[in-house]
Amino acid sequence: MRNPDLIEKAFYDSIDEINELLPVEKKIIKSPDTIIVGQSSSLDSLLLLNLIILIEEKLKQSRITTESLVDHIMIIKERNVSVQMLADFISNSQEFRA
Amino acid sequence: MNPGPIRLAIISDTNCEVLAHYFQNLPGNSKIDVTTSPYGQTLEILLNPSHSFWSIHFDCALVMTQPELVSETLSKYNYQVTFNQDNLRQEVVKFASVILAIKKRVPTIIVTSWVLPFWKYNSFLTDYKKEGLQNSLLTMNYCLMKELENINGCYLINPLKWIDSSTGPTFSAKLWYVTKQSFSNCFFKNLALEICSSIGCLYGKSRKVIILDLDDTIWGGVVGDVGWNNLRLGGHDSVGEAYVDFQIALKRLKNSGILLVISSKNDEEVALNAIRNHPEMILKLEDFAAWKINWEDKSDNIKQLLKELNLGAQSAVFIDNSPVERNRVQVALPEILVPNWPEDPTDYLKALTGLSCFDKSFVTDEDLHRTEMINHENYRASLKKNAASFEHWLKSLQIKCFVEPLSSSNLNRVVQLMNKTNQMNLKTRRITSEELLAWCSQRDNLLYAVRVRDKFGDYGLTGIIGITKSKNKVVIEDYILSCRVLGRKIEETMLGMVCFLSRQLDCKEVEAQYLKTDKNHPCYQFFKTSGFKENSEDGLFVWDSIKDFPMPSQVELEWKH
Repeated sequence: MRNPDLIEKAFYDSIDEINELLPVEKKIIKSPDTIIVGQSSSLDSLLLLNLIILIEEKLKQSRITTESLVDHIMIIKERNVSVQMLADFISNSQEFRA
Repeated sequence: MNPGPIRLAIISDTNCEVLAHYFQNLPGNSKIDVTTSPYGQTLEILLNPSHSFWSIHFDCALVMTQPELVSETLSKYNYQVTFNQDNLRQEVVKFASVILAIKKRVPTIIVTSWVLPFWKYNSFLTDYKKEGLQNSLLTMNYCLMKELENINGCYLINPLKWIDSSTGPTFSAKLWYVTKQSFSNCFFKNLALEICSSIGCLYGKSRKVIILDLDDTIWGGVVGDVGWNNLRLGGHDSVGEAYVDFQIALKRLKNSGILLVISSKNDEEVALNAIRNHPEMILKLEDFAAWKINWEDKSDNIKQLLKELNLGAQSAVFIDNSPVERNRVQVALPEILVPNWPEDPTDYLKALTGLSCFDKSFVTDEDLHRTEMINHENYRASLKKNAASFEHWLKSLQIKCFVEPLSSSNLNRVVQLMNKTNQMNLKTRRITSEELLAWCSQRDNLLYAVRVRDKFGDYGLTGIIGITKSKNKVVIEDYILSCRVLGRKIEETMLGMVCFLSRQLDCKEVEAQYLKTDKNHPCYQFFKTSGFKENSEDGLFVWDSIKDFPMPSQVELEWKH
């Protein structure tokens, strides 16, 4: 599987896990456009951190990254960050290091 | 007990918000309201009864602490060379006394025993030595167990069960450092499922009957094709051994009061011969309370079986290796628990043990003899078929009722009956042992338990009457009768008891206010025909105590003091 596909899978598998914690009306839609960071996100800060850690653990298992994703998220300046933006950010930071 | 959702407090020194989310959003767990203790205030909350956290009247508290919170000695483990085990014990005793103090405010307390992530251990060879970390942790857990083991309504539970069953890591260092959540999400999910199930069981919602398929479910192979002597069961065969272990676990459940019944598509005689004759069968024919072995639709058979046993679908678990049959039954009877059954028989025992729906906080005499009682009921039914009339049949049973006050020997059974009886239940008052004892300690409240016996055997403690003397009348608070003795004039006998007590207490009337639930319409129907007068249509029934209540002649009554 290509890295972008693995990253997408890590995101969606993690969203599935977080959705188990949410009531039906707040469940996150698995789409590249879904906002997960920012005011339009339905996640509170704890669940957002939980989601990022889940994604990070999955990326580490897939050996896509060994770094702390939580630290990287902190430096994103955009107000509303979508699944796609975050996935691109991870993908680009990997390419940058490569 | 509050009749609405169960109010659960989670008191923890780590972040348990994710656990609370699981409690609130797991399918089917909508009846638990969760409040988590604010982070960093665990000891303040536990020690201070005036803390705002206690403004909610909780039904249950889950106390989940790290060992370092309780034991200062242990928290310094990594910084000192030696430490005193006596100090460790004293710290745990002190913690247990705090738990006992909150027991006065919360009827049910669940405490998790202490575990530590592997990275906290720094020596593999010396962990169990005198001052090893594992040795200390075991000392703490043992000490806590001894302090809590005899406390009613207090349960020390073992998280190692979920550590084994978690589908991922138990601890996450990342979650701990970033969010102060000590356990992983998958661990919390398993914990929430288990606790929800246990709370349900504590409040009388445990499952009572397992409906079993036969072929490839309790033995390997199709008996109609291969014959009973070629079934895979026991012997020098890994699969055969797994089936034997599965049957042993089923037998253990049966011995704790869970009914086993068979629903199988087979020729009845062929299947029964296998049960009778196979030398490795652990389950014998007398272990089964009923069976439907035929080629009819299983859901129809199950409906009939449950009707025969006087049980609702919400009491049943259906175990079948066939996904088609499972789906058919689940669609037809959505209240039945139909677990996804593993394909590999060596996983059957684990799947059965993983069902937390049979949990009980205690086992009563009635539980131990349940299958025997059902078999007695079958004798009664066969006698009824040949009796000249219903009255003749009833008379021939030689029914006796024994009335006794609440005591330590019948408390558990009375609480069990109050929490699980749905149909013949006037007010459906759900209650804990402590709440019932408190209620009975009030001067004007009286509670009597009714045991029923006939010539075939003992039905056990099957009825409860709770009354309050209010000025010149007796108010019935509890009128509860197990469905196993319905229609045998015990209903009338119990009302006669109340009318008798009313006169003894110099009261002029007996009042019974029916409170409607989804399931207690039979109780309303009975009161309507009981001779009590219904005031308008509001479910308030009254008996004038000047009149003698007509006691049924077929039932003998004996008061025990």
